[in-house]
Amino acid sequence: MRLNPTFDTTIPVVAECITPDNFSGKSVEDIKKMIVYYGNKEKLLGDLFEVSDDGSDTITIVTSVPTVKYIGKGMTTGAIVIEGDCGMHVGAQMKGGFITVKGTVSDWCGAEMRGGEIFIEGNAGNCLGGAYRGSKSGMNKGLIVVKGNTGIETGGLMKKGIIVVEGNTGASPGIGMRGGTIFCYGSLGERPGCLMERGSIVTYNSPQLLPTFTYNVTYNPTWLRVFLLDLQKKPYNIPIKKEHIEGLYKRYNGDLSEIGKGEIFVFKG
Amino acid sequence: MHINDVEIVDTFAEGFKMYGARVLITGINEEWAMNSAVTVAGFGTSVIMCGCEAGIEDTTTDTPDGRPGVNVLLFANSAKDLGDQLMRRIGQCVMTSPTSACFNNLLGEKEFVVGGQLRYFGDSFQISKRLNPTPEYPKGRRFWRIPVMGGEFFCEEKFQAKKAVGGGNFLIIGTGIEPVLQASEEAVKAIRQVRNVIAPFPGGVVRSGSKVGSKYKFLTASTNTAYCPVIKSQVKSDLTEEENSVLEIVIDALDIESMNTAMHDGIHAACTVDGVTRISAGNYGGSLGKYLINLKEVI
Repeated sequence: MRLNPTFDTTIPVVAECITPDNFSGKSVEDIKKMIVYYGNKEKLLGDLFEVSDDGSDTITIVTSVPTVKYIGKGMTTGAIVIEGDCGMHVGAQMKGGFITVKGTVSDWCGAEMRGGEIFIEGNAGNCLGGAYRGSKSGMNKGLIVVKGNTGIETGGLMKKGIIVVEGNTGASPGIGMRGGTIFCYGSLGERPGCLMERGSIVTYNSPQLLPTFTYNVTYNPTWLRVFLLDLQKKPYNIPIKKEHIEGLYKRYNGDLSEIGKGEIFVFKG
Repeated sequence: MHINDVEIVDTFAEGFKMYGARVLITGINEEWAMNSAVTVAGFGTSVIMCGCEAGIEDTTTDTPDGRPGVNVLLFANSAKDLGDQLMRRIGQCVMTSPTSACFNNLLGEKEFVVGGQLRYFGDSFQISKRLNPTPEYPKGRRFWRIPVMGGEFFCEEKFQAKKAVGGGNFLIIGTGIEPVLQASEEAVKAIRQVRNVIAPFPGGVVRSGSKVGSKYKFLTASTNTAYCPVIKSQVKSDLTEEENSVLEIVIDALDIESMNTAMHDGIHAACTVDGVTRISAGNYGGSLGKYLINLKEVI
């Protein structure tokens, strides 16, 4: 199914209905009648998008939709491809399936996701894979790969799952983490792992660590080998080198202002 | 029927239903993976006294952590016994072995928590890690990282088992111990090329085959008198005058097709040695085992 936006506006569009689960088995006419919110006005999807059936199960949004929010929210299966940029909350609370964004995404991408994979070719905004305010946990299973940079609080309150950032992260990556793993191939923003209880952050550049993190050991962790080799099988061209798999990492644990069972691995070579 | 003038006796081996698991042990190099694997498979010749039957299946470089690995197959009469043995053996023989890591390497209908129990050794410093779901592991593989003096023991939380076949066997009968032992070695060499099978006895060979029952009430099994050459004239022997030695190859397999292949390859290899007179098999009249492996059919 192909969606071509027919609007040009800065007014936010809430389009929770754009999921493979909702589109499955429906005709073009039925899909056009789905409800979206244009600002505070209720509209039909067909009012804002030209919908056409290309015979594919994948939902393709053919150009940038930076003001459209909640694309793929709660989806459990199928695939969405956004050919350009997209707005906030893409893939929020998704449980399965695949989302590919060929441009950049705004804030809260993959927030509280419970499964599935999100691949972002550009940058991501703040609170990637994070927890909504008041929630106990952010991302809980699933995989997010960002080719560019991310904003602040990447993986905030993350519980399970994997986030890979090939560029830099904003401040406080892994804030309040309870589990899961963040890989950062660029530079970690300031205060990495602040308030983290559990979980792992792996970085390939020397970060500025908080004083509430303490050095333990330099070694080649078996679990990292397993995770990196598993990530290498994904079709996202993550820049995993042989030395990343076989090399040594310095392990720091923290945040000691919490229970201190989180860890930051710094690649030594 | 004959192969290279060796008579294939018209009889069958009686195979039993077992449960089988495959454990992949990796290490910093093959030597250390093998050290651990040998220990895991140690004292695993027969379920009668060892709790399970275990053996090394093969070595591999296709491992989740990219390090050299050794596959070990373990078989037991019940899923419960197998789970118990996995726990004991992985806990005592893999976790203790320097640089080792331990992975489930078989998909089956039964599941045992192993790493999920061993984790308590970490005294609250253990850490769990979960990979993303795959079709084979819809919930994602979960592992435990247990801090140990040598670094970290990485172990899969759950191991799986499937219904398997145990008790495949054939007897190599010959004119003396030398040709029979040589034939056994050839047979075991051939069997070890077959995937999904092990020959769990020392060097893959048994010299003390047993029969059901004994003159002693407290024993349920005793030496296979019909095939003991040194008492040939004292019992109802199945050996001819020129036959002076018998060795048995016992095989466990994850499926009957692999069992048949192993029996076929093993028997053909054994029949290449001069001095082997007959190939037979042990059974209990067909009343106990689920699988009747007819020698003439498998060859």
